[in-house]
Amino acid sequence: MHIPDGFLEPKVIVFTNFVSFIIVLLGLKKLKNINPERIPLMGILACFVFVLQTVAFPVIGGTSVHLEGVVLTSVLLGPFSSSIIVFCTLFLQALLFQHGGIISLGANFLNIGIIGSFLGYFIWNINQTKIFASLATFITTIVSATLCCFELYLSRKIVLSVGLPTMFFSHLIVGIIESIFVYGILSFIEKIFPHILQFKKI
Amino acid sequence: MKHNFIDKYSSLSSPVHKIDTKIKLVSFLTIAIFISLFGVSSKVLILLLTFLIFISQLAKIPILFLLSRIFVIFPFVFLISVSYLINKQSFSDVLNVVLKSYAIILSLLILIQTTKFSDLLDTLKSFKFPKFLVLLLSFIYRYFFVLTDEVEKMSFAVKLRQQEKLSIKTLINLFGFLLIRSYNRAEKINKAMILRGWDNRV
Amino acid sequence: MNETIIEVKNLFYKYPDGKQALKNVSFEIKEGQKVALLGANGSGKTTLLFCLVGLLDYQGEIKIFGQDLKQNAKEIRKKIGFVFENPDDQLFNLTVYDDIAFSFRQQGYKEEQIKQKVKNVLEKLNLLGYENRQPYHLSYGEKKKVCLATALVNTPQILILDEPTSNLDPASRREFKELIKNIQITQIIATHDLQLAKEVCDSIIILNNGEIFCQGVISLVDNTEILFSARLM
Repeated sequence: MHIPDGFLEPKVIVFTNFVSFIIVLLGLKKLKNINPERIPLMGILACFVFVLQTVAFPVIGGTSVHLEGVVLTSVLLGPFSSSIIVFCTLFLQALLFQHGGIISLGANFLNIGIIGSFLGYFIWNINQTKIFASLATFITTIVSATLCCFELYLSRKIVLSVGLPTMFFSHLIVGIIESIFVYGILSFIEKIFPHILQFKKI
Repeated sequence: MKHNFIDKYSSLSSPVHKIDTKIKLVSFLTIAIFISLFGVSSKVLILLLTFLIFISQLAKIPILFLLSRIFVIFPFVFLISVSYLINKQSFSDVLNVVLKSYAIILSLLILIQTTKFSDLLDTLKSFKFPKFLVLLLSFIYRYFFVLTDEVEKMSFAVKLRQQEKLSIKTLINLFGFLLIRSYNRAEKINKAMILRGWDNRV
Repeated sequence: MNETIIEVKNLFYKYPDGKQALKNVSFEIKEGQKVALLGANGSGKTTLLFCLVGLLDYQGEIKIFGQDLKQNAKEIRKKIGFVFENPDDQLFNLTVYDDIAFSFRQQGYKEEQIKQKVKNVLEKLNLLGYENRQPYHLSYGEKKKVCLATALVNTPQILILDEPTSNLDPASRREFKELIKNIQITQIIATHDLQLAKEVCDSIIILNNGEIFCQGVISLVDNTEILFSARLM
């Protein structure tokens, strides 16, 4: 979930923005001397993720969910590349669609970008198979929803007895759909275009 | 396929549009940071909102469009309302949060809808925002319409083959192909950039 | 005046998946020549063009302006203008001005000089006033003209065009044809448009399955037997 501005307390804002700032800086440092042809690739992948995040995937009963695609980029390009890409997409979503705030960008990036990229990559790296990518997606979705919950709780905006179950159950469905999606896309790539899986993971 | 610009009112002309982007950006950040880090009473927020609405009308941004943007925070408002109910906190606290959030959203909207995106990126660069991030942001913006058109065309092709509602399998194929086309496009853009003398000096 | 400007000897290129795209291609192009590069889909036209600008790792020898391409690619590219088939691949900046200014900014030119150069090329192509337009929101014909502008702004000595008139409506096609006809520099135009070839070019090279099928004067384009054998008819 993308937390809007006005819902977080100063201590949460400062802490999450600080952590995010460090990770972005680290990511930029790591990517400083990459092979130039990775740059348009990151640009287009960032656009792909941005478009993916705008599409509503229909679920039962006329409702729809939005996917994040973070674990996918992390599996393809590595956690730091993925973090930078997701930071840009979150920034643009906040700027152009007001989906998530600007001051709360640090918190949203921590929940979605950092957890998705690093925890997701860590879990996938255990076995580097599609199943583990799906598992990584599911776990990171739940973890990021939980973190979001705690940030709001620490900002004295929600009680955990309401927040945790709501976040948990709503993200259960999103998590399942997105894990199926990641599994499907990776199968698709393996069959049709395995070349794209060979990039160095940074 | 022609799209509505994401920042569709930014090409209008008004006194607000003509203000230097640096000033608008700093004003937005000042308002957002102040509101986020300090307690502001609802009375002051209402005054601020009145002022912002006045500015927005000077900038010729349709009022209905501005008011509709408040819907993005509804899920969170619902969540905190339930929590406040349980905690027996007053409705005025919820109102304060809503006013804070909307004030920041409104100032952001005024910034975005009166500024050309390329000017915004140039201003970020002048404020020493990392050039690599600016490059990625411009790629996302530049190719957003290209990719969404491709998704649209592909989904038309699906519909014409009798599948009214896009199933998960179809969506996976759709985005799988979009990913591959994105990769091929990135390769061509890379060539185009090299041909025009680019050597990864970001 | 009529020096050899491009020399290709025994050019071979294999795709990463193993398919042999170009086999033993050799030809020479003299300064001022306008060559139509014809060939069926998949014959290797675009691959050959990418080799000529040093974007692919080929085997064989390519000399441009008397210099070996592989050793001097960066310098040589500054004197070649290339127009891609799909404008969305070539126009990757947010405004027309930025796209045309791109190569100068890479070379470190001052904004004042760039402004003048951009204005000159826009004027030449009837595109004054397009500076702040966004490339994606232009019509296809306008996009193609902007692509041409990005290629011409460097005052190149060689202009390479990949399918310049594909997907253009008849009026835009005519306009584009007139524009390139009036550009008096060495040109290589990969195309399916035989009409364009006849009106603009003075010689042709026909590729078939990665090999040179024939090359010579433009009147060969009227030889239906040759065209048929090369799958151009």
